[in-house]
Amino acid sequence: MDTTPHIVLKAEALAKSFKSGAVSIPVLSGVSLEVTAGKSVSIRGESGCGKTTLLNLLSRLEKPDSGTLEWEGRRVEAEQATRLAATRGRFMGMVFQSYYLVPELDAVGNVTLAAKVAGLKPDRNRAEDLLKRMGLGERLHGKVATLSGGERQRVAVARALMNRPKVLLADEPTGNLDEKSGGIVMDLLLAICAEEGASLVLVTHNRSFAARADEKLLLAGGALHPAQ
Amino acid sequence: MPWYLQLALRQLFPSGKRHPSFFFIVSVLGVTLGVTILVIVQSVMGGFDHEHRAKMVLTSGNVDIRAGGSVIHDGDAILALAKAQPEVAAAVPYAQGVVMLTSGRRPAFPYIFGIDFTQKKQVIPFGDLLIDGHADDMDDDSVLLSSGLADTLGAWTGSDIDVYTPLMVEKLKADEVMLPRRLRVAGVYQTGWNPFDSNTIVVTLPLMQDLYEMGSGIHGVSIRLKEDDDNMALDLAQRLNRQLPEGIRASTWMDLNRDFLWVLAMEKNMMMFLLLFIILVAAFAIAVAQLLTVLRKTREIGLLEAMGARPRQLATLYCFQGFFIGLFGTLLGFGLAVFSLHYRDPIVNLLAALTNSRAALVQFYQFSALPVYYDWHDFLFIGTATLLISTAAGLIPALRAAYMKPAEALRSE
Repeated sequence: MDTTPHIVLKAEALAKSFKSGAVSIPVLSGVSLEVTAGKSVSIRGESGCGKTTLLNLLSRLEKPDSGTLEWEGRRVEAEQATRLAATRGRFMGMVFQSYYLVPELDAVGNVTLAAKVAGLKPDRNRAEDLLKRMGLGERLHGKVATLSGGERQRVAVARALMNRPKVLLADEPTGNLDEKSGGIVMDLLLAICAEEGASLVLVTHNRSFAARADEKLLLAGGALHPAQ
Repeated sequence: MPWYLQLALRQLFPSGKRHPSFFFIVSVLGVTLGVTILVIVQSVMGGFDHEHRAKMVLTSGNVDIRAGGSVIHDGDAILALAKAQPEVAAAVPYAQGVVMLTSGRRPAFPYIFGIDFTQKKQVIPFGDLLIDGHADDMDDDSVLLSSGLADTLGAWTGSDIDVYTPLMVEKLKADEVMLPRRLRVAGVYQTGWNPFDSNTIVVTLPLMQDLYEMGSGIHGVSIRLKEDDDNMALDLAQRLNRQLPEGIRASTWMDLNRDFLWVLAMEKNMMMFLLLFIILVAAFAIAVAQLLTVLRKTREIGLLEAMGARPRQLATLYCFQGFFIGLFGTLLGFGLAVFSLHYRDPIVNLLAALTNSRAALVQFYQFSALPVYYDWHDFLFIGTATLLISTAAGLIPALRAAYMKPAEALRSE
């Protein structure tokens, strides 16, 4: 029986700098990370240390200056841009601090949109099931404008999980929420990722939320370090 | 339906709201007004064109046989040839010229037409066109006056007028004196075609031949077809020209009015060209509205890209909105134009009364009411041009959305 942990996401020596006029400002300098299937990783760090940039590199929304990235053993650099977008939509789910829900759609519409955009059949039953598991059984057809911040983020989590992704990247998912709402979202996020078998890369400022991950990392000086 | 088209429609018509988005309403209104004006102008121009054509055919027949202004002495043979053609409903010999006439102390210099009233079927239905008098009262000592001339002279049915011909001038040169011919007005006609109604008179062919000392000669034969078909007229003219003697030619009414018809067509095309700029202005409104939409939705576009949306799909999303604005505006514009044209008479009467311009309308356009003719070619051209311009207007914001970098879009404020 093979007991080797299955690596779903692997980054090696990722580096990224941004130009400000003639000056190049390094943000990440050699970040390496391995995410095991079904496990969670938390990344903490000071504001401006490059946490969001790291997630953008891991999801290939941005190209690194150097380094390699593999999604389930496949080199991402080799993929064509259009295929990469479709692959990302199926392999990865993303949750953002500002939810980014489509205001013209209801909760179910926002969740099924993830499947449609990724070119998958929109399974309405799964969308409703996810929303019910996120405690939104009564708000399935609620307009985005009528949902609270916590409810919106739960819809965003359901949307991120709609395509049964292997990895879920969450960028400060509780950053806009109060302690209580943030706690509810965090509980649901961890529980549902575990149920779905999705790995979680969680970027957060909150020490207690970060502590609940299987692996805790700290981003400082452009590199990842084990957190205390 | 693909998700990007669904989303495009949802952005234009957000569910749960009573009305479409503000940008959509403004953009559609711009297109609607442009299309409305284009259709109204083209349909009215088409109406004038159609009326002009109908009146020209009414007053001159479909085909005309002439000898280039010379007298045709073998008129009976030409008339027989014309009547032998299967598509001919009526063929009437005529002679024409210019005379001076006086009624009391009022002079006029009208065109005179001598028409063979003995023919059973007439090319110009004077019996239906008389607004005063009876066609049966016509004889070789009477005359029909056009309504404009009757007004000018103050001569109506029963009045006497004196007619002077150019021949009298020739006689004077030879020291001969020829007295004017006194004629009784048998009736007054009105065709609705101002050039004909303003300054013409009609007499019998024998009287005209007598006035011009033509003997039994004629100037031509006018022909009316069983159907007002321009192609049929063209075929007949070509066939007659193969059989007519040298120097005598058959021409369609279109040949005879070629310059005027060209001016009409040119006027209509120029109006279309100039008014298309209104659609271009509306297209700018669409482009600006769509650009604002793309700016407002920058982060949403970034999200869609993060979820796997392709540039082509995002471009289609916003391009489709431009197309849909164009489609909606075009349909509304068509509807508004047809509605406005249906009630054109009260509108024109109101405007004419306000600007005191009814007389000018009749004088310059020869019609007392605004004519309208709906040509499906106009609708097709306007619709297609509007849709193309609207879609192109949506293309610039669409390309901006398509080539946005997702990370930058998500970071945008």
